[in-house]
Amino acid sequence: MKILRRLLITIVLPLLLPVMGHAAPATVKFMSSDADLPAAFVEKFNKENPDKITIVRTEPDYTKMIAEAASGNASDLINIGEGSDLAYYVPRGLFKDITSYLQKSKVLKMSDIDLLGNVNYQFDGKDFGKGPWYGLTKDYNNIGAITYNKEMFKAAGIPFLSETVPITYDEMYALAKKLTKKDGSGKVTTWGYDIGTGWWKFLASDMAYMSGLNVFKDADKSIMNDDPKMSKIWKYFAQMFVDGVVPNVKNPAPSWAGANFQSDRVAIVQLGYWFGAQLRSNPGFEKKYGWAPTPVLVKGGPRVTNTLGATGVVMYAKTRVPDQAFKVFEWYIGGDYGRERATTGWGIPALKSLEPLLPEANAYDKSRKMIALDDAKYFKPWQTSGWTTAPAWDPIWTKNAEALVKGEITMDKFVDNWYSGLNKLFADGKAELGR
Amino acid sequence: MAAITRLGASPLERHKRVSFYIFLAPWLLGFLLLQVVPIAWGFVISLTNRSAFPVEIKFVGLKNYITLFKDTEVLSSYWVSFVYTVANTLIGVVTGFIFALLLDRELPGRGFFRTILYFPYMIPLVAVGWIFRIFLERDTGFLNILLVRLGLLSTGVPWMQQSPMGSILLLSFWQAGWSMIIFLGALSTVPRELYEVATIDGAGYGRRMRHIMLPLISPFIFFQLVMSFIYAMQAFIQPYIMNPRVIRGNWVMLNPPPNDIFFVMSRAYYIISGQHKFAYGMAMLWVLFAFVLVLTILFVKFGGFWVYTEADEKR
Repeated sequence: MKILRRLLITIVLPLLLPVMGHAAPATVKFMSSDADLPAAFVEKFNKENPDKITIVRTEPDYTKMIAEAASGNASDLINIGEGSDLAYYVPRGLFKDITSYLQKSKVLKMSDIDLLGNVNYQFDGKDFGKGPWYGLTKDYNNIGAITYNKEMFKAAGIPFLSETVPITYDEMYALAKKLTKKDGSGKVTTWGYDIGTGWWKFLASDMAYMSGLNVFKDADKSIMNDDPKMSKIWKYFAQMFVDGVVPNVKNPAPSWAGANFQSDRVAIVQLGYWFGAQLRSNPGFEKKYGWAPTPVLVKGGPRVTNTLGATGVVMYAKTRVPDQAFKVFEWYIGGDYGRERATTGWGIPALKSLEPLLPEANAYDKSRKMIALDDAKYFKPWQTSGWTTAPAWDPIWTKNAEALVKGEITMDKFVDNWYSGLNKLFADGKAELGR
Repeated sequence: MAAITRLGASPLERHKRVSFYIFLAPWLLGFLLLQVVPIAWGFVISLTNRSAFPVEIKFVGLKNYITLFKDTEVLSSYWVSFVYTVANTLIGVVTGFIFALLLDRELPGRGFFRTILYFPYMIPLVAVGWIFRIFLERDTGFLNILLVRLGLLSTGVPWMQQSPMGSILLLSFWQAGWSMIIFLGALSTVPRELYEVATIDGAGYGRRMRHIMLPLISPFIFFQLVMSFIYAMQAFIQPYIMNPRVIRGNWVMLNPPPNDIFFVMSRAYYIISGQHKFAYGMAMLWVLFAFVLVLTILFVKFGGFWVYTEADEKR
């Protein structure tokens, strides 16, 4: 009797396991902020797919992602800050090639993908916009577009900016200086301009394109271009810190550029179309804020802007549930949630078919949409190097900019340190891959 | 003889031994699997070129350790950690001791004040850090608003940017509750009769403290100094939360603080998670471990001469 029971358990249980497994819904872990994956939509999705897929949102913590990936257990879908970081992660085998899924998808048609905005999600190991697809942007933006506080402009007697003709970067600098206000003790009370952390590298890339320059000296993108013309571009941004037209270590602002702008501490920011949706929470936003296209270097000269690589979603290479993860991916990019996101105007959608959904019910939305689509004609991927990630650039800048503002180093030394710090990062990245 | 006794142990004795090991097993297993193995594994990794996404893992011997001792930024982190440790230990021990002295007396509301002073210690460090971050903010921070209203400052001061280490050390005062509890316990062990006798003999408060209280509670002071030192050398989250640079949401841990407050644990974490250099980060942590171990041994061996003990008397 005992033997019979053991035999039954040994034979029948393994047969039952797949059936039991099939009945249980697959869980798709999705690393994303609540803002980019609201709980209400997750709940709706889970309710509509009770027997098949359950989405579990995980907090977007990139250090945790590294630890999880190192142990082979990262989230199935990952909201990645900058798509351009694919150049770093793909050679390291972190993300899955989803080309075959996209080719078969009925929700996401290849012909519908906006190639301009999604360029950083297609990567052949060397160049963007070629080879396999690893994900899609959730939406993308003209990150150089200007948002300004009309009330501050009015108070300073500055006319509002044109929505069609870009100002130059020098003009913007002059405006920033004029709009920076100090109290009797020299403390800055309002900054003329503020820049997103690390965004100098994106904007400097645009300026390099406009000047016909390359950020890198070599085709391998492992050495910074120390051409004086390129250095001048970096110095443009560094000087902003020295002059105190942006918050610096001597005159710090309480938060990041967007929040400082929203709290009337800053007059001008370059954050892009998406920021218009963010500003909706401010009373009187329609009249208070104005929009202008990404500045140029020379009046009437070439126009260039970029998407910073565009925030998007990729699939973890070792996901155990690729089919289900792709279903969620489809829903996120082109399903209910994708459509909903397009209607709120948080960015230009990844799919061309969703673009008409962008809001334009009032002058405010019309203006920012018109500028975004106009800027989009001049998109060029920012000049990044696959030997490191985009966030890794920033500490080198910040550390040296602080020393520069404190007068501990000269401007030339600042640029030297910036180049040498980055060159070392690139060398480390190469060594990591044995190159 | 002992071996014979062990071999010939009675069933009750054997049962006791088996029980001992069975009861010990869960902790021992956990200790081995969750502490010893990862720590040893970390050491093995430190001898390789292991990164977060290795293509080819190679044994590199002591290369990471040699690089580390040439890396001025890493070395500065050890120094900064050491400076913080000394200051934090002194602040914690002295403040805790003063609180304990005040609250050891029969005062009305003693229990209330003990609770109030211990309370901050119960708040998670991350929350305390954020409280201080907001408290010290230049324009909206309570400290600046108060000082400006009182006319002590004409305008707000960016405390965190001007004195990042000082800002972090403020947290040490908040954590003095732990020391206070230890010292309250210590003070309660001092026989009251000794004070009475000394008082009758004409000793004032200072002499009673110097000749009775301090010698008798010296083992506690020593314990506090050693433990504070070990814990403070491992301080990790404070620089990230009290980072004078702009910190934003989920990017807190990817935004390293300035070198003035970049503690060794915090930097090792950044090197591992932010720069993906697992092996180098592990080497940093092993050097920290060796440093703390050696200093603790030296401290215990040579620093305890002033600690009162009854061991000699018993011998």
